[in-house]
Amino acid sequence: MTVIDCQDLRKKYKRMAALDGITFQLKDQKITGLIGRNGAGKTTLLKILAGFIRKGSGDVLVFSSNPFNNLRVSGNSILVDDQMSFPDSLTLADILGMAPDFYKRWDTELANNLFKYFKLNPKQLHSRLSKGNKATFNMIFGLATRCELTMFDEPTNGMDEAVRSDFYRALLKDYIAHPRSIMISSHHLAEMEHLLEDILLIHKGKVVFHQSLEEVKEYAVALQGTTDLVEKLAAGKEILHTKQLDSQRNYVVIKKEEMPVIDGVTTQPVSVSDVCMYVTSDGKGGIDDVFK
Amino acid sequence: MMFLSNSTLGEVVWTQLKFKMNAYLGAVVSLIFVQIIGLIVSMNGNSSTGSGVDNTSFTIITISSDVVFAFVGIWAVFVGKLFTTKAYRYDDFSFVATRLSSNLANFSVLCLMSIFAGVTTFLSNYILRVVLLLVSDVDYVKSVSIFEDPIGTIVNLSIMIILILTISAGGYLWGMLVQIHKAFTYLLILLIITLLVTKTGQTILQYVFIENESIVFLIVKLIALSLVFFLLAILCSNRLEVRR
Repeated sequence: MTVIDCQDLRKKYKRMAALDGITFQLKDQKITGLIGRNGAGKTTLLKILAGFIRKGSGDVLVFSSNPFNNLRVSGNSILVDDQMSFPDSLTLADILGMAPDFYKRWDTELANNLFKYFKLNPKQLHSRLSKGNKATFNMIFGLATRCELTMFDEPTNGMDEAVRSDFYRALLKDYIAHPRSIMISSHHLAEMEHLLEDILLIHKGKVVFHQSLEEVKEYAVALQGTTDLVEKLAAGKEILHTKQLDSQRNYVVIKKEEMPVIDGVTTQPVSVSDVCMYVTSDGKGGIDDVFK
Repeated sequence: MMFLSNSTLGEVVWTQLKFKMNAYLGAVVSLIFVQIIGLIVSMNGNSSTGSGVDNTSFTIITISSDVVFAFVGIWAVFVGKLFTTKAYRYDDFSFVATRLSSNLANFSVLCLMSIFAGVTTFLSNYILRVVLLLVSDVDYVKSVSIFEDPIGTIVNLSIMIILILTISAGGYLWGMLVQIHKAFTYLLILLIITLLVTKTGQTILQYVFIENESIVFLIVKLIALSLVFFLLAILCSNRLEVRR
């Protein structure tokens, strides 16, 4: 069954187009990374999928219905972000105590164990939590709902290194025990790469690619060597990124294809996060060009 | 294999109602606070007439809980409005909710709070009598009690409850309109002034509150008015986005 089906989805804020024709489908129970630069439209897309905001035009179906004002979507999906809010009259323990009434598959044991592990204070109010602890609590809440579609928008913002790696581990373990569709948007692609099965890369409100992690790893190749040789080899190819290493040597990233082996030019794999970065950069150059 | 849990609207509204009764306890606390202030203001009496025969003089002080009711009325407007603020609406969407279920749950909470407010405001009259006897040098308190006129008491109580509900529904609608556009903050004040000043406005007020053949008629009108307010609020909020 298709979990998410977006066809030419658009959304405008005032005059600016946040989503500019998003088309993709999410079919199986997978962990998908929603990757994109700042302002690419990640948050807008997730909020439309969660039914928080209205779509502009196009079609969006979550569990075969429009998520806006749909009880079935609300009951089977959750969006964890830093804007989650809970009443100030309820303590964290109260919130966890009330959640099972709403979410039929709420995992009380998991929630309590994680709560204890991360040493949160049950008598604390949600709004008084520090940034990192708030993110941790939201993450626990999101995992424990066991929603068929669980979405995290920048879940690790504010978490320290140790908590971040614990979070990835908890997410993976819980996903293996209870497979479901999980979507994570994050800036820390490199450190959560091992979790992801699919990558949905969006840029300026459009889908760049929606591929498995393995395919993204094979997407590009880097050529390194003396400038004239590298340039000759890369001529006519789709160049994603170039960098002058020193006066003689050049580093060029091109879309992967069959390539003759030439002495003096080494080919190197390009990491997934670099691929995503190069593909979504507007110019061919980098930050270095600013200082030329 | 995907397993989707299906909740009916009724279940979700019921769950939200339970949640809100826990979460919105602050509104009840503020009600009690407002009533206490109202009671303190009422202690002086609304009017007094003095007279004397020979060397005996007496003063009749009329006491009513009207002031308490006026305070509770103001409370009702702002509680209705409070429920429409961003913080309250966003809280709902951290759990399972649609705009319809949130509205229905809010409506139920306002109904329950109106009943509580109506009953306590009605009873505040009794507190007033007791305190008056204890504190001031009043010698005799005469008033109608529940036992002397049970039907009249119940009718009074119902009107009080329904009037509070209508006022809070008005506040709720006002709040929703303000959420759509800030200009409605002032438009409401303008509307109230227009109602009081213009002839058409007065005719409308007269029709609702004064020209009633029986008290039951007034109750029906007020309930209808509350429902209209709520329906309009639901229509307004059905397109409101959250956490944007």
